[in-house]
Amino acid sequence: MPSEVYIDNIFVGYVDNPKQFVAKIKEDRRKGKIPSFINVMYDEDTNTVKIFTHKGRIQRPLIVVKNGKPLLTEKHIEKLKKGETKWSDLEKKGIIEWLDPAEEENIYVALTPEEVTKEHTHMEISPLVIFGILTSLVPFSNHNQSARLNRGMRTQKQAHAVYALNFWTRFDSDISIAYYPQEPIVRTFSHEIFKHEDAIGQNVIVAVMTQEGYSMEDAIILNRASIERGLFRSVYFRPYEIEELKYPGGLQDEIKIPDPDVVHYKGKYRYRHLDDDGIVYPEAEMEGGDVLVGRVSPPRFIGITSETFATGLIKKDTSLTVRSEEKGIVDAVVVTESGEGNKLIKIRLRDLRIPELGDKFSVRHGQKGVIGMILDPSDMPWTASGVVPDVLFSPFGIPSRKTVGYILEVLGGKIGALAGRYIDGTPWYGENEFDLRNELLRLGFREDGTETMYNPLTGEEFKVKIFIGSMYYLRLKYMAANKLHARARGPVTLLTKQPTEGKAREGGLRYGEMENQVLAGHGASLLLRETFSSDDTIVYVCDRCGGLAVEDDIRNSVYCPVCGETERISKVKTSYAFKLFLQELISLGVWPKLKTKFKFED
Amino acid sequence: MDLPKKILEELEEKTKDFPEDVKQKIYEEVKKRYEKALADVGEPVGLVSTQSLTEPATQMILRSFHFIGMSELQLSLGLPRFIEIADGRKKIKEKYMVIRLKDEYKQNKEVAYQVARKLKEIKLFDVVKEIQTDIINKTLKIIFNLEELRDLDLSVEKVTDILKKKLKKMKIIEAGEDYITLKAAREDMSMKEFYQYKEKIKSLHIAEIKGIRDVLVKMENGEFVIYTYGSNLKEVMKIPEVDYTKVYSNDIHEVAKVLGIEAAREVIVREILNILEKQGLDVDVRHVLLLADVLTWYGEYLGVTRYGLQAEKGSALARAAFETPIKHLIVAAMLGENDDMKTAIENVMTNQPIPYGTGLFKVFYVEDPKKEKQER
Repeated sequence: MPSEVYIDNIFVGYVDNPKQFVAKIKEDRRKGKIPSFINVMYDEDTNTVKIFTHKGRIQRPLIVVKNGKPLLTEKHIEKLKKGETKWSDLEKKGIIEWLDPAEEENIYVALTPEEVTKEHTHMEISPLVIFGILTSLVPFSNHNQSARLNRGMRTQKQAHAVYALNFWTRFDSDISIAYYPQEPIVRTFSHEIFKHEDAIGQNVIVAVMTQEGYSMEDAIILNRASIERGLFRSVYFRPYEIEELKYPGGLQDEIKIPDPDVVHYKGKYRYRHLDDDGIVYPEAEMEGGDVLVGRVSPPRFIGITSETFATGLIKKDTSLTVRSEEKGIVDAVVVTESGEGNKLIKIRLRDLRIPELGDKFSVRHGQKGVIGMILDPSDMPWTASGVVPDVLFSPFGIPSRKTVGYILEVLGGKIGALAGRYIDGTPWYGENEFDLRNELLRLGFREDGTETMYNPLTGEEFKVKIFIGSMYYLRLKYMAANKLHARARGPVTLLTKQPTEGKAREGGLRYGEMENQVLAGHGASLLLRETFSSDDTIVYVCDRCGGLAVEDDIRNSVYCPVCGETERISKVKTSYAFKLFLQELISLGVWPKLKTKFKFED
Repeated sequence: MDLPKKILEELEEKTKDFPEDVKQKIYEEVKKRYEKALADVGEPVGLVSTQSLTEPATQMILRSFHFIGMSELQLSLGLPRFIEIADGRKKIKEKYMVIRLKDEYKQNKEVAYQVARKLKEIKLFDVVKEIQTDIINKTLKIIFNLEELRDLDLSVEKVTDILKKKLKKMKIIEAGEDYITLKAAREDMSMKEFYQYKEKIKSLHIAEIKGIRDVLVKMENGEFVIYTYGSNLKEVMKIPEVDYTKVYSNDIHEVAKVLGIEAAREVIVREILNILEKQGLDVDVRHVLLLADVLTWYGEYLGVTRYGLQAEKGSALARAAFETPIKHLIVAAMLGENDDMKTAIENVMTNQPIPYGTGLFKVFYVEDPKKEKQER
């Protein structure tokens, strides 16, 4: 029975001998008669031949195996090393070919040359190809649980580093640049490829121990002296942008120092850093709320508010201010033009970020944690040779996470630091534990990497030996300084008059349903009332009909709009949300009535 | 106020060797302590109970992460079961019964196994070898497994009789030695209906007790106890060898139906205490008792859902605050409901002091209330 042939899922014809047909295509492709991006498969279940040529398929290279022997031989490898042959030459010769998921269905791949049998059709170039770029940067990753490897891979993307060498000409948001990025001592094959682009952290001396319980919940303890010498120091950039907008009707914004009589004028102090053109000068030290660029906008709705009616056209101050609770030094000011031809000003604020309590750190094995304590060097434990560690890492993080790679990296880092060389931590092919231990022994240390250490509080020797070595730590982009937030009074939402939510809107911290029940459970009734009084209002309630009464500000009178009652009206203090709720019910056609009585009567 | 009977008895037992005046003194002291331990007026006992039960519940969720891979801890007995009880679910995941035998049969292994055999439900599917479907004539040919029938003390005739009684949409047109043929009673029976009915016939109850899936006989404290999966309290209690005073089922709705609401309350208490004990949590029994009371005090077993207990709340605002607010507001508006503002929810909503604890009291000294009112 002839089989159907499809090219890119479009039927083109029949072929009598599909297996021969497919083999012929493959043969031609290897000879270079057909482009290498074409893949072909024979599906025995449906008796169809499928040829794929379209875009968007993922291909991967494999070494072709013929008659139980890989076509790539020692000769080729030697030539490659000398630079006489190139990858593309191997492709042309048909030694290496690119397969897509469809063609992979029909092949049998050996992992290593030793595994190859007559049945195999292809061989893996290296087992390491299962790793992506970031995962391949994790040393000793074959000793880690896969979930941890995933996390470790992801943390590398969040590390402080030098992300681009032209960073000072760029206006990227939420960017940190490390002061002293270092290459890792313990590295993998990928680091050889990336050369010096992989400096995303610093090599620190880490002791795996606790101190005074400050390493609770994965927190790490840092040495203050190390920080003062510049460990993990970085600079944080925050770009700001403002445009001189044009409005219909010939009105437009004005970039200048606003006059004191505009609406929302922020006070003279806030404009102190502005030059005469209304733009801040470089290297000015800014606080949260300070004006970066002064801008005056025309009133949005002319003649609606009584104020504008009385005083004529009052302009609005729509200046660009530094975000509340942030600070920084003006790093760069750029005056340019936007796409619509408006004047556009971009400002970048720079802020020095020295590690502080709550900043997040991680290693490449997914062992992340925040700084729990910064200890003076006198309060840090020291070794017999006088080494004071930079970081104390809690040993309780290791057993349940099963990150054995962490331990091996500390061990390798120690040898690298002592012997002055890089350690190869490539998974499966790197230096093995046994050799590392022996080398450490030759260097004059205990082979298991532990050392005698002394208790800083008493000066006594610890009863146990402490595991200490060098480790590559990353400082992650999550910093306590960016999260800090508090509020006493501040903006409220228009609809409910309740405090706004979120740090960016200077919002309140919610006293939630469960907290409410705690107070209720203690019977602290009045405290509860007070806590929830953020939107307290006084409403007038008509005693006769129970509806909400109206206060007339101009005539200074209170009356009920339903029954016209002006005498028997009570003042009730309730939440604005409840008043809104009653009015929403009224708008639905439901008439809620309130029955009032004197507070102190029963 | 008098001391509870149990405490009095214990006191009597422990102080029987003391002289009368010392006895009196101890009694006074115990009474003082007892009254001190009572809940204060205005104490929100319900809230405290809720917190005392739900806080360990959150711990159970958090802890389950650390128990992954540990076989001793059955999670189905933990929080999911707790939620089932509190929600008053009708379909529960694992129904079971504990059946004890009458005193005279307690040690008798044979009787125990005999009773156990009588319990497990036999469905038609269990005794059938094959069901042949004829789509054109709309007939079903059921071929019986004779060996299976013999083992279960049944025969083709018996099963045919049962089928005659129970089948409504089909009738028996032919009966052979080991098979019967069924035909649709109505000619216009649709194909879909036919297939659905076929599936229904498969799980038709033939013999023994309906609803009991599996039986296990266990030796416990020197007596034979029968554990079952699935529950059918009414039928099991009818079995003469079974001690009907000691039959236990964890299906609270069924217990409420068969034995009454007080028994259901007792089951709730036992089930919750069992969960807490298995999780190693120490919660005062009075919190559990209060929860059981709340779940059963309407004379029927109602869960804490918007159809159950929440629907029974007096305040429309409180009901609206729980779930489906619009529905409750519409109903309240149509009926013209009156809200007395007596519970915490409405008072928090309107920013008034809640009527518990310090907010319960309204004693306030005003020189002349009327004068005060006028000034206001």
